[in-house]
Amino acid sequence: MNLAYTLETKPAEIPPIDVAAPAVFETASFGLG
Amino acid sequence: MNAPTYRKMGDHTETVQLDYDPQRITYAQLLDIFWKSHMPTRRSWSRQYMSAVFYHNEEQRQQALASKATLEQNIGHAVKTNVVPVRSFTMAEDYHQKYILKKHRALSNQMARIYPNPQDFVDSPAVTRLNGYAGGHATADQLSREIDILGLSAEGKNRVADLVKR
Repeated sequence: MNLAYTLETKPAEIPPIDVAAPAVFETASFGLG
Repeated sequence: MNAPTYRKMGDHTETVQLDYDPQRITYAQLLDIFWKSHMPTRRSWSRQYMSAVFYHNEEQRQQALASKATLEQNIGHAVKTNVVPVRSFTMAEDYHQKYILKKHRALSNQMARIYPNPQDFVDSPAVTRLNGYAGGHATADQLSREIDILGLSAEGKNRVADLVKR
């Protein structure tokens, strides 16, 4: 996940839940048929 | 094929790829949800619609194989779902992303104003959660606990609350 939001996004507008998101996620992938 | 598209997919498979916080949900829990979200005893129709765990590392491979074996034991039937290494992943076109939320334009547009860059829109946990709410995958109680941190205007909050009540 890219948390380095582009300059198009004003920091004050970023939802609090996004600001609080961890910097590192793990990734999982599934094919559901 | 290096650059598959929805119309020209080659040997690629339609896949859900998700980034998750292991402090909040484990890979084992995701596997449990996965087994309940498709028909594991049915052979895949095609490469495009293949049922598979695409593991990203050895730990995921071992957990996936173990949970597959447990499922087979529990249901007494062979599980046809593949457990294979992930090789490459191509994001679907923008119009496929957060598909349910985009049907609710007022909400979707509000988040698109915050995230005009499509990749930022897709990566946003707030947008992802709104997509889940729009799809009916959460309760009003869950929404009430986090409605104030989703970045919505008062009107946006009312709209998503209405969706969850339905």
